[in-house]
Amino acid sequence: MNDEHDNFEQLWQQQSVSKVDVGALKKQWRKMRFKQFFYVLLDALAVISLPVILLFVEKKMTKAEFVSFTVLFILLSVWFFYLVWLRRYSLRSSNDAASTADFVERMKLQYRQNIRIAYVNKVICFYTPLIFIGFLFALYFGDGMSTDELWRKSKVMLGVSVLFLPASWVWADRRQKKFEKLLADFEAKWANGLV
Amino acid sequence: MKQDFDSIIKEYGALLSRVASSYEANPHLQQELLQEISLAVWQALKGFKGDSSIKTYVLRVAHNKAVSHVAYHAKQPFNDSYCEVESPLASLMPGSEQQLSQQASTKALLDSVRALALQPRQIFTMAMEGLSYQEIAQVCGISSGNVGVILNRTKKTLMERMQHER
Repeated sequence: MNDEHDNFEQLWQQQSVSKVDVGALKKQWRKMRFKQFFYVLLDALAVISLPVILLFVEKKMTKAEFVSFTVLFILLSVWFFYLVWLRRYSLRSSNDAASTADFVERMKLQYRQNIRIAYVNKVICFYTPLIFIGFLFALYFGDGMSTDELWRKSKVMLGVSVLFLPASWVWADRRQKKFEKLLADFEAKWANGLV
Repeated sequence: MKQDFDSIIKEYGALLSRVASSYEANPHLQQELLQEISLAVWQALKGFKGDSSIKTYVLRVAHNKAVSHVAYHAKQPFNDSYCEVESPLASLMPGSEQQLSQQASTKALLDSVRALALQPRQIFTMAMEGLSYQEIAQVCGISSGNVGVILNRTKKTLMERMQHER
């Protein structure tokens, strides 16, 4: 039995090996760190920008506008932290999982979280026109805004609803389907012992 | 437990290359996987707490990275016909008959290892790198008794496959 092990080991160890390109690796590492830093900065800016804007243009806003944007900011903050919570496994590396079985479970969970993120994005796209309508109602009943001004604002919101929201919904739907397929493939491969 | 990446690569670069070769047959993809694995090891080094040997930890990270690589990239598992480049082992380099025979045996072993299911493949490759049953059991998340059983069965399978190929 030991001879057999030694023969295998000898064969195994004599296979030709490739060298790690350390230079390329260090370049890749720097690029990756920069991208991570950039994404964190973008996320932080997205959260910070709204209260900063509110602070500076508060005097120019009507009361209903100010209340609406504050509510929007609170909703965005809740969404942002929910997103971070869902992405907690993607944000940190899971390659040091305790065992392969543990790692596979983490990967499956990560796919499921990505499916959920895409689904919630679709829901947001679906309900955003309702938020717009609520905002217009607040302006009309809260501030008594003129119909001309309301019409001007509703055209902008309609433009966003027609151009931006369907595109975002399609993008989120594709991501949802992509991760559902990846999860199904991965589970099938794992069940068959292929990964 | 601060570990210097350059010294890790110096010491375990060849081991990482062998892990990559157990998942990818194509030399280009093997090199790509080797770079991915090395980057994953670099990222994971700060998480090393010393509760296992550094070699076990490096192998654990390497195999986990290889699993995700296979999950993402392999549309058809174990398909080595992706590109036309042949493995250096298969090429007829000048050498004695004994050398050629050894190269053929190594290639047969690698082909047979790549055809194994994930768990026996991991257990076999880690045993070939000198890890104990206990260490392999930790990495795979199974008992050390199971490791012994699977390893013996795997060796038998490999012997049969290699003999069949000859």
